[in-house]
Amino acid sequence: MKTACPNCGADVEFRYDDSFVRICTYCRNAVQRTDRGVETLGKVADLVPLDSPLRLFADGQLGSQSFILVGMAQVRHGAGGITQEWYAKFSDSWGWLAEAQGRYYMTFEVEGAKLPDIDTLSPGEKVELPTMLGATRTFTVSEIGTATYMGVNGELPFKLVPDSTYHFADLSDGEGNFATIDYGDTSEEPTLYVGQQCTLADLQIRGGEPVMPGSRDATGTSKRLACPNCNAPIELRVPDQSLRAACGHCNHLLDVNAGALAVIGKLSHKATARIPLGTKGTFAEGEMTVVGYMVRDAQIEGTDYPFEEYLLYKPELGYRWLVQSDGHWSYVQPIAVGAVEQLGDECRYEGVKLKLFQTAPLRVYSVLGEFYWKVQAGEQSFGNDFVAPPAMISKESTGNEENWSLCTYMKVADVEKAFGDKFQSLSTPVGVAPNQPDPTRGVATPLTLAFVLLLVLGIVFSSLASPTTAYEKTVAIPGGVPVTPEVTATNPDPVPSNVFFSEPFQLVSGKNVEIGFHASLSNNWAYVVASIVNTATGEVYTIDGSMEYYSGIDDGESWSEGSEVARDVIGPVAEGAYVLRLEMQQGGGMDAPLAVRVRQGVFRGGILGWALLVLGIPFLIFGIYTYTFERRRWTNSSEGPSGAPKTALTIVVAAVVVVLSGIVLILKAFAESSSDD
Amino acid sequence: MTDETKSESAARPPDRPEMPKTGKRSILTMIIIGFSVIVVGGYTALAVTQRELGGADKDEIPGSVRSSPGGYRSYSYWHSGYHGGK
Repeated sequence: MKTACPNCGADVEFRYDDSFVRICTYCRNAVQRTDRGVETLGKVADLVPLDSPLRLFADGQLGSQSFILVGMAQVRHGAGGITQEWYAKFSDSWGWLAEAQGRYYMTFEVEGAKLPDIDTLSPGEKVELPTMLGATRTFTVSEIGTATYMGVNGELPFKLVPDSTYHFADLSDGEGNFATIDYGDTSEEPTLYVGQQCTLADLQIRGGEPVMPGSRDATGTSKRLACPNCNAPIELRVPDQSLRAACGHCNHLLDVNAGALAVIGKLSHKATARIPLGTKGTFAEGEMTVVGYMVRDAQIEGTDYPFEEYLLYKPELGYRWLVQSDGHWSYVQPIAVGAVEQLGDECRYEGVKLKLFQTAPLRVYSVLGEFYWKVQAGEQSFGNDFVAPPAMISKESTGNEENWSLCTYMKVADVEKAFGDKFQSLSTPVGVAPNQPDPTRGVATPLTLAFVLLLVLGIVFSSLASPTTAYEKTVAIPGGVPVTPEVTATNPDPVPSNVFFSEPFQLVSGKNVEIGFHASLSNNWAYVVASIVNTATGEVYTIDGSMEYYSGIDDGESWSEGSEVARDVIGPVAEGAYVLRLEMQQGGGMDAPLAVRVRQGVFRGGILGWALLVLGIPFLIFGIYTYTFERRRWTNSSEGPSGAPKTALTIVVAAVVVVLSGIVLILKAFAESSSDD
Repeated sequence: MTDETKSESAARPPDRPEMPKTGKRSILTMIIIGFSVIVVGGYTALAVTQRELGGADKDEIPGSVRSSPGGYRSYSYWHSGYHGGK
């Protein structure tokens, strides 16, 4: 439909039947069509030149549905930033495409939704909202604020009043779905827009016209300006998104308004960045430029703990951070609100549970370079850090906004490598960082599993063992000097009195052979050499056993030491008849009875004990290392060392530490009591 | 917009970065896994076969001794072949 502008009479064409407002390209009045004709809503402001890959009347594709961007508006956020809102005409509906800091959100109006009052909402709150398909999803409030329409162009699907301010709440479900509740001036019924966050690749934008003559493409064109205070050159690398800049020469904070600078005031602390502004570095998400630097501090129990933040920028991606604290580095990516589930002192993200490490007020100490928000020295927020090394999830809250981010630990060498090794020895890490991985982290699981498996195997083999007795006899160990009978014609090979030969007994193959002794001793010793002889093959297996048992009463207290029993085990022998030979000695003058028993298939607890010991040594070494590593980490936590997650290793080591501490305390108490005496 | 558009366009939503992996197994971890396997495997082998590490002295009485008067009870054999005692 073609009509004449009510203000200037120029031709105004409404290309789409369901659009309400068209901006007159001559006088820049917003022309509204109604059933009574056309009227002007007033003159709209000139557009601020912003870099954007989106263009008016550009074609796009979302999934299988195509659209055309038929209009756009620039909106000034209450906090100062400018975002662009594009109006996408689909075949049967309108889509609202918001563009902010390299992010894109395509939403659609959902009619008839019952919406909460804006006064009842707060950041982090969960709200059930209907979607386009009638289903309900849980969204989390990320921001509550106001925005004002500025420049407008093209055709609009609603009555846009120039310079009008509206209240809104932004929400996200953490799965890529996004919602905005437009409360207007709060006197009207709110409107719900629900959709999803998209990438530029998702939108497949092609063609179109520049929004305004001379507007640029998204090439990240930087702008060189002079500091209005000292005239030193200032390079704005993201001029259309930066709202604040700090002059590195005179240390003045500057307001950035559509690429123009104005002095705000002198900063009390000068920031000195080791990585200069403008340096390019290659990280996991590609090449990024350092555009800003600030020093912040966490205020804990009256002490300030400073840390550095480098603001990185990539046009297609937006902003990221590189954070350095105590010489430890982390690469920081934003996380959509709602993607993280917070449960008391834990949070869950992507199926991983993270433990609360620190809660502290955060304050901006000094700044350098440019920033996409109206940063100021002394700016405060409240931070919560949750850790599961190498990840740390941080929540920063202000009164009306909540931001979550994922901080991934980077080794110093990796940071240096990211900057092409231009900076050597960027920092020397001190202590253990909240998200620093334990170098022995992979060791605990196999060791614990092996330890548990050994115990289970021991229990199984112990319960399966069914020892059988092959021979049992009680003999006497003669007292005094053993006597060897004379060799006679009838006894050419006499057996000495301390030697005993058993009758033949049967042993089976495949089972071990235990020879056990029990001597009845009273302040005496006994020593036995035992051999089993295969009567068919002559094979001999020899073991020995030593026993001694002493007891008495000293100062009215009875005591005893030693043992009357001894045993030894031989591995499996060939099946057949065997004879047991014993050669015995003892220290007394009287005969001492000795019970001897030969058993097969006995459980070898000793071998299990050795295996547990062999495994237990590294278990303990790595356990102590992990325990001390985690203790050093959690000592810096607001939760204290007790906040450290418990593992089998740390539990064992903690138990050892507790027992040893108890022993030390008891010994000290004894020492003190004896010194008192 | 339909569910189809959504599934086609959103594999991993923006602002939902992947949790960092803990990385590949270190050499130390591989050594510990090997060590654990040897210890558990060694214990299992010993428990199943009932063999002993070290164990008894093994000897053999010569056939000539066994066929002589007294056989394996031969004093001279044990006397010359054994030097134990405390």
